[in-house]
Amino acid sequence: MTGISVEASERGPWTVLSVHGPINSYTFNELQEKTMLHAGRVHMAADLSGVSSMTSAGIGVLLAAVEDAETAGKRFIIVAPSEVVRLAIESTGFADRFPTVPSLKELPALA
Amino acid sequence: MPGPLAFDEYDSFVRSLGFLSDREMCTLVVAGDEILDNLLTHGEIGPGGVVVLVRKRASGLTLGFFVESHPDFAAFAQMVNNEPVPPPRFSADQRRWRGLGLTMCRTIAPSIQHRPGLLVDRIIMTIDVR
Repeated sequence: MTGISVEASERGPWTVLSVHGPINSYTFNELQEKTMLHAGRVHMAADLSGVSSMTSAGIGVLLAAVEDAETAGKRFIIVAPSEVVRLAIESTGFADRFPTVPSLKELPALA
Repeated sequence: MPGPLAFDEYDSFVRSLGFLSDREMCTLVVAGDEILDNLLTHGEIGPGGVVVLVRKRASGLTLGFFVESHPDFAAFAQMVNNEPVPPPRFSADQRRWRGLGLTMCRTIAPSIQHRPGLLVDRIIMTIDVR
């Protein structure tokens, strides 16, 4: 699987981006475009359960999305990261920057 | 392994190694994809492709990349051999983080060596997954 797919859907107050495939320097643009479209405007969740691999290019996109959300007073949550994604995030030392829930059902209710 | 296909081929190779645990496979996918990403971004993979070596010992894993020498990548990779690693930083004008990949590799692999050669460059990572 050389490319990725990024699909947006609504789940209550959350805009959910479901990502599938490998995220690297060849594919991160699609994720970046979708996150820039939503981050800071809505509460966003990124379902990364279908991500087969992730390099620093992808983590940079996620960090930027977190910062855009925080600046705008919105939430950004990672959902069900695959083992590879979890390991990649931990290895940057920025794991505490990413709120994470194990499934879409665990997304918090928002006032 | 031209361009993005290199990631698919590398990941398939790692996941085919029956002597690795699931965690070891994930570690090698993360570390190796980052190396490939940098090879492709800061250099290029020549017609000879990339030869990948994975060795498992009681002391840990060794991941080796052997690739046709490329001066741009060699210049970039010099920082791999430097200590200490500069912390990741955000480039606001480019809207990109710099140094994340190096930090990732250093966290995963206590020892990373880039050994440039006349024909072949070698990148050797020693990984402790205990």
